[in-house]
Amino acid sequence: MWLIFALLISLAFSQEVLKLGAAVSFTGKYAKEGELLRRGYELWKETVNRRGGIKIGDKRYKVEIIYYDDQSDPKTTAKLVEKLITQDGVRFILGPYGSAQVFAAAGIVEKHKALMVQGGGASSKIYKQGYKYIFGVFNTAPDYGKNLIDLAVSLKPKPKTVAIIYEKDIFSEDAARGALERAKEKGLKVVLFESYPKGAQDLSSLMIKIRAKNPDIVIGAGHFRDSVLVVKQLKQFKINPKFVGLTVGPPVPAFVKALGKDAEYIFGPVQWSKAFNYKDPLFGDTKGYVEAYRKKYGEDPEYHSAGGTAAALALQIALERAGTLDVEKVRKELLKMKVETFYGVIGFDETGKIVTKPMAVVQIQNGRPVTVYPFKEAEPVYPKPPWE
Amino acid sequence: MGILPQLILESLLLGTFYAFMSLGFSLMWGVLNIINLAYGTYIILGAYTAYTLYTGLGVDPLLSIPFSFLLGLSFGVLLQRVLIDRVMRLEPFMVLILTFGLDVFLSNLLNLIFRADIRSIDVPYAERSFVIGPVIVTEVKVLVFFLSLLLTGAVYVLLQKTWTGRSIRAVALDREGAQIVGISPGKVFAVTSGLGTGIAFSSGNLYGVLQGFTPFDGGMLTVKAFLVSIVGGLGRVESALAGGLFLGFLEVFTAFYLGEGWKFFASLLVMFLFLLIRPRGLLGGKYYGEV
Repeated sequence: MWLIFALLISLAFSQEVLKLGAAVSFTGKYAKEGELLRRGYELWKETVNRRGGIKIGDKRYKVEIIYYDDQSDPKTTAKLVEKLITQDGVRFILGPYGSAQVFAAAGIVEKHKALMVQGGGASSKIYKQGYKYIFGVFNTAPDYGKNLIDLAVSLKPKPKTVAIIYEKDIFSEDAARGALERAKEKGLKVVLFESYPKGAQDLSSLMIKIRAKNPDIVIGAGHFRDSVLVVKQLKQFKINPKFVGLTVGPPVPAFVKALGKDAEYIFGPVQWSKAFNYKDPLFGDTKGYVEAYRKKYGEDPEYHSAGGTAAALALQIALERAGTLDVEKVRKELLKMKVETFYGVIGFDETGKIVTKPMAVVQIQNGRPVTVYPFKEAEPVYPKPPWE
Repeated sequence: MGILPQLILESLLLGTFYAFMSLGFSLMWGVLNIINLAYGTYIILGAYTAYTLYTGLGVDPLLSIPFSFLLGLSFGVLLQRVLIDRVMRLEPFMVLILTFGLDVFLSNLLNLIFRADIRSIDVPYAERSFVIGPVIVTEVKVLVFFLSLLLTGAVYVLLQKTWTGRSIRAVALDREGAQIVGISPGKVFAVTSGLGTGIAFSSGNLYGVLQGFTPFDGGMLTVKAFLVSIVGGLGRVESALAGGLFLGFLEVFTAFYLGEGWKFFASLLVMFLFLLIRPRGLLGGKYYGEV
């Protein structure tokens, strides 16, 4: 009864409709991530509309999102975003999933001076083009390495030496350099900083080197398969650092599945975790968001969905503060923004990259990734016990 | 001292595997006088055979070596009879094109069946190792080392002591002469091709245990086999051993002192140098038959 009443009221106020658009992967290799991202957008949309829509100036707008399937192909993303802007008349774009897709969309959005807020791409390349109309809520690659070091130096007894190995590709190298930079800042001794070629399947030479240096920390930056390989070979060569951090892998269930008991106590960064504890203007706090998500989808949210919701939320706040649908003014509000949300504090630098939010670090404990930093679901286990 | 014993051990273990892996390539080159560009993909085919047997039926990849060998043998004989024989007598260039096409076909076929994901054969003993003084020894590598040595030895005995081996060497040395004494080159070609392909397939089992693989890793392995044959020379089983060990040492030491990224570059550079300075290789006789 109350619901219907509320609905009637909201309908009465929401004459106007604000159309947003998103090209998201429903098919192809990112179909799963695309669906999670869409869920994030949808949860935001429903919550906002239930509250009577977005208040811009003295009008209330009901939100509608036009979705297209980019089939996980960046070229298609670009075409669809162009279609959204030129044919559907959308000025505000919610981002696609995947760094390549975001990158492709960004060029189009910039060309048409529309505005995109995205929670689907973490490559720092997106922010190095001098684009003015692209904002992103994902931490970029260097933060993946930095946060691992931040956590490591906060532990007792404090580690002194670190070895960093990385796959020779842009993302992994960025992440490794982030770790290197932070390690030097924190006074750690970097005993090894070395790359291996893409697709390498035997890291024996690197392992011999690491074994000879016997570092307290080992950081591995690479893709999922590399992470599994690094763990296997560390064990094979009986290398027992106190801290093993891998930029990609640990948060994904497949990591534990691939490594079993050997995955225990390994650290890995994540964009967001439900263990975060922040206040939020729309959902109350992080817990409120998690509950709303669980109620709608029957499972806990993870960072793909949270990134989507956060991107949309940032856009909403900027629209409300600007009080107009003028792209330039909304953009200025995004640049000025520093607001606490369920996702963390959202604020951007002049390139549109988020700079105010930490990443979380998880550790595998009893076959499950638990958040240990900066919010604690559990105490981090350190130093890591030797391999069995 | 310090790290040196470790590096030497790694080089020896890896080099012996390379020697066995390249033996089939060198044999086909020496006897049939063809360069088989699909050779690396034969190895990968072997690795996928072992993978399928292991994940499907739980057969240990080291125990399924005979099966891989027989599969490779039949595949090689069939291929020789149906395809290669037809173009071998024409320009040598034709064989290159044929085997190149075969390589593309086979790797894409594997990609269709198994997808491009990296596969690995995760045997339970894969991560075991033991320490002797300053040196750490991984058990799998030692197993692969002994098997490679054993199988290389077997090929040596086959070529030296059996009638089949002698006729292979005879054909390699002098096709017409062999015909005069009643050896049919056609049969010898089929047997050699089968033997070579069988070696490739069975080394695939070992390769799959050592590291992960994808359908498109064949090209790189062909280059390695090529390099072993160039450096060692095409002469004998011993030359493959010399070439394999050389590559093993080169890869391990370059990777350690210059970095993983330099490994492949250094190998290719050395290959060019050999072709320039000593094209017959370290122990280069002419063909398998030459004494």
